[in-house]
Amino acid sequence: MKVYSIGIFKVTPGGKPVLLSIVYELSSFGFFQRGSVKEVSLFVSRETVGRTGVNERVSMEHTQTQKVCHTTVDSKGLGCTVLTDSEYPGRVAHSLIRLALDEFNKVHNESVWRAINTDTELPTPALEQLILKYQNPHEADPMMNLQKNLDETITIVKKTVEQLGQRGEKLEDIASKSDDLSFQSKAFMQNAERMNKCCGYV
Amino acid sequence: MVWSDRTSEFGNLAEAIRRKQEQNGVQLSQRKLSPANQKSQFSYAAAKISRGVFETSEKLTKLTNMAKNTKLFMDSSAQIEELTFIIKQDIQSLNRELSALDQYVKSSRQPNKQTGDHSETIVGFLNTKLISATKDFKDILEVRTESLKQQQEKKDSFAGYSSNTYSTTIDNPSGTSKTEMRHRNTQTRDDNILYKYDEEEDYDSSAQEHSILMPTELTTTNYTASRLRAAENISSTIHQLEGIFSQLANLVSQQGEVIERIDANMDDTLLNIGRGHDSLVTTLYNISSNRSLIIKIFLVLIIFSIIFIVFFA
Repeated sequence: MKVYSIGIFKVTPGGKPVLLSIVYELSSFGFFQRGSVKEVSLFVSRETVGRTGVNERVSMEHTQTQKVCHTTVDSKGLGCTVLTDSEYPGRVAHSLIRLALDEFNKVHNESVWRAINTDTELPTPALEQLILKYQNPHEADPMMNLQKNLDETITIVKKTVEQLGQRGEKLEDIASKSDDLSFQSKAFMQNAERMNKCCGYV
Repeated sequence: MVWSDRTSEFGNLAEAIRRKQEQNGVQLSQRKLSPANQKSQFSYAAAKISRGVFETSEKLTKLTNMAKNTKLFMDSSAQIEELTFIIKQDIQSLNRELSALDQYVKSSRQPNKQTGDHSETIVGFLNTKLISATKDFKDILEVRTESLKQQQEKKDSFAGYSSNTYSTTIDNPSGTSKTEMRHRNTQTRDDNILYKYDEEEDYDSSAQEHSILMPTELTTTNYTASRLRAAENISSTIHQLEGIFSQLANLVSQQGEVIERIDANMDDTLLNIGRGHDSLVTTLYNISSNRSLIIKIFLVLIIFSIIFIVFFA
């Protein structure tokens, strides 16, 4: 499950979306493919975000290559796209989008990007950190983290219960043996006392 | 096919009975409670029921064909549902009529034993036919649910397929898609739309052999619903954990009791062995000392001396 890119666009209705900032994580592709992959991702992101309505969450899947593009455009006209593979859970992708938008808004003021009309690269280091962190959705997303921990706990507890069952069996065994032992010792004692009683007869 | 033969037989039988009644001079339309009239009433009701069962079985065969034909592209589910509903109603009404007829047969007094047996056999026959029709109906419903499930699986596995003309959605997706969306499941629409599309892009720089934009199917995924589902999953996992822990506690307490038993047994054993050991020690002591021997010797001596003295007294 991988996140390939996070892109921020300025979306104006009727116009082409303008790229504001984009980060890539293309370590899974070969070195020479990366250039073309970047171009294609940029194209797909731009097209998708251009067709997304305001405050609408879209997840578009490209069936040939099993890649998904999740986008959202917020009310200020700021669009964000996240390209992932098809296994990546959509819910986590959209929460990643929210986080990315928040980060971008923190760093760059609205006035800064409102005026831009050509593709620029506003550096946002927070985005790079985000993309690296969300490469593993299980740990990054708190819900998935919780679920994963709970599942591990349940497995361990189940194993414990199983072992407890075995322990119970062994304890039963010991109980029956101790029963036998006490019975035998009682017989032994009676025998010894009898011997002692009539030892005058030796 | 056997069914229709029997119907004509039965119809002939009913005709024969009616003719006999007419020979006896009783009209079919009169509703006097004479035995012959009872018979004609009965035959009339039985004929109606048998016709009803026959029609129902015909509808059932139609439903079977439709259910078997339901493939990915011919979804006549509305028709199937309609037909199912109609058949259910028919079967229910036929059941009612048949039970009414049964009551009628039991309550009314028949002139001779043969007509009574005859009516009872007819009622039983109709009953069995109705039961078999109901069973077929149930089988058909099961087949239909199976095919629906398979359809669902196939739809999930396919990348996209042409169901309606959604080629225009690529141009203005959000507007028309919201109005033309199909409810595949009972999920509510939200601001989340999942498209699956195949395009002419050189995504991995291969030749452009694929066709142009294939019209696609629209499915809905709900962001908030998925979050809700995740939260519900978590809460159910926690409930499971709760159950498992309580089981754990039960097991441990049971085993605690067992352990107490073991403890008690060991204590008893210790006690017994202690006492046995003590008695053995005393035995050993007694044996190792010569006291008993001395006592025995003295006893024998004394007895001998007594006897000696007594004899020599």
